[in-house]
Amino acid sequence: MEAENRLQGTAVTGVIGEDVHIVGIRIIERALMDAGIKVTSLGAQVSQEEFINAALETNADAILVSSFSGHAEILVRSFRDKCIEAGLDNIILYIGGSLLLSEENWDQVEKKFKELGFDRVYPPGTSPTRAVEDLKTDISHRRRK
Amino acid sequence: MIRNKKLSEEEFFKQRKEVLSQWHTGKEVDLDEAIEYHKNLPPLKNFANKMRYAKEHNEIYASTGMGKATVEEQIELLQYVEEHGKADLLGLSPDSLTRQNDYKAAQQGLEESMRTGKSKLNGLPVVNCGVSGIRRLVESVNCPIQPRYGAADARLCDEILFAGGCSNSSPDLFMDFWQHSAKVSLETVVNTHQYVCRLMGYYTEHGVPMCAGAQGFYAAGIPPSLQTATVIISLLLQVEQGVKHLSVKCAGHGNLVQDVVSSKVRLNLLQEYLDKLGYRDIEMFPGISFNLMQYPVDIGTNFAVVFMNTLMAKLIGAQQNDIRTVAEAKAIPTKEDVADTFRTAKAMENFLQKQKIEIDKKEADIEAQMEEKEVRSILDKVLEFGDGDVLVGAAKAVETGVLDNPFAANRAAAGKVLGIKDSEGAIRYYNTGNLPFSKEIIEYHKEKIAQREKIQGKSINYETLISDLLAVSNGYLV
Repeated sequence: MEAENRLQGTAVTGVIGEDVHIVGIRIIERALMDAGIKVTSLGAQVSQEEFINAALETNADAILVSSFSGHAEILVRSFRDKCIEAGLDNIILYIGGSLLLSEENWDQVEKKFKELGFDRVYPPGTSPTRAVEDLKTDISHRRRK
Repeated sequence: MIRNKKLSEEEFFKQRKEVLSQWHTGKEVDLDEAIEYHKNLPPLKNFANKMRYAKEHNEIYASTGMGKATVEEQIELLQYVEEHGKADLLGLSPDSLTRQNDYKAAQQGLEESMRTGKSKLNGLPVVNCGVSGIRRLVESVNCPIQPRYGAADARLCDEILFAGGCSNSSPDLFMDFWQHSAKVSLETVVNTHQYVCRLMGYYTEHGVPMCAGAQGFYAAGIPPSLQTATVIISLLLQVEQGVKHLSVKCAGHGNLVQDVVSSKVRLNLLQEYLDKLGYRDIEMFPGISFNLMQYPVDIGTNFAVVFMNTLMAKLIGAQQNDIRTVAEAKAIPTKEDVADTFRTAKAMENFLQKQKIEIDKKEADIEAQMEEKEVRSILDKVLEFGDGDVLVGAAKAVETGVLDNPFAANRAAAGKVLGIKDSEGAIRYYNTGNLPFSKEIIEYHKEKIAQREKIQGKSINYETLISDLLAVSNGYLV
């Protein structure tokens, strides 16, 4: 953990909505930084607009949204559209956490959030290493486009 | 401007007018009448008196948060838990809209709950229920009612609770600044907390003991010295405003040597800094909760957590045993769930009450020496930053990461520090960030972590960190 590395990309992170469940995203942020990704951390209680503005300001490759309130479906509605309107045409969008209150099976949850415009969807307990590796891959694809 | 200085009576009463006008029930608060009301309550309905009684009689009282949307439902719950759970303290949790000062939305929730007969709020809308509502609650039971909540601005809610007959609160500066809001400034939280403590001081000066308390912040996965430093700072804010009775709370991690030592260090160093800064006649009541990252799903593990919590309480000589209901993970606990949990804790307390149990003295001495050094390093730096003013220093310490929290919801935290468990389940500094620690301290922690790596045959990584954070919830220590 915590090794220095050269810059591999830029990401904006935060917890969406009124939620203050911060631990998950804080661990991911550290793992990203260790992997050489520049992180703009917005912390808890972040709105869609704040995510988008921060991504524009930092010319980010990706936005990583965390949510543990169970209200994620409502909170991220039309987020992809708003990104496109703001000029973030091919920004990478990830979401992770306890996304829904009802216990649907994970495949359905993943499908639902992919339809909402997220490139990758992670359940609670996902290894940060996996998210970091996925992001590195996705960023290198994005930059080749 | 931040300063650790008692609000003048003029400043206090000027601000008070504004606070009481935030919602119409503020008009019900008459300070002189409320003081008389408290004086006519049975003495053991007063929280500080009850804590002193526990201390003198070697008793430990379980406590947990409980909140329903209406006074009627809350009365039903508290009466049931008092009778069937043999409770000695009864928690009261305000709903989250009230904690965010959205009394209008709380009013809608209250009205809807009354109309449908179902609780539509996650706690009691204290401000909307008003002084008369809280007094009905207080008069419906024999135990003291203990408000349990955190908020960046609890001024009006606490005004109503105190005038209603409650006599304790947790104006916990760092808990409320770091954990309960993302964007509020330290200065704002200092101001609201100074007000609440000044109010508590006013009651105390007029013959009604008010008990304040602090736990620091949610220190999951963080070694105790950082939490101890923030607890002491929060308590120094409280006593400056005239608070005389303190709940000194500790969040245990499950390594009993570290937890017991941590509580002792907290009490000893608090006394030392109180003396150094000239605060006299302060009464302290230790309390403890077992740190959980998430509520265990397994019912057996939940009972074990209550058992551990009670054992910790016994070992630190606590009056307060802060537990969680065994059914917390599955849904909103029923009154039967709460009563079962309280009886579990009560039986444990009874089993342990007459026994003398001690932790290993040699280990405890080493641990205490190190933790004292750590806390002193932080607090002395804070006082140096503030030129003797602990709050001026705290503001600068937050900016520079001398006070730090890796898991703050608030954006104002350096977030550099990181903890990891050692092979015996004590939490050690994996990264000391900008904490003003000597080489000796840093090496001590490194060595403990290296021992674990050696025993496990692999180095620490993020998976280790996550598994440490979730260990207790999954029924393990390490």
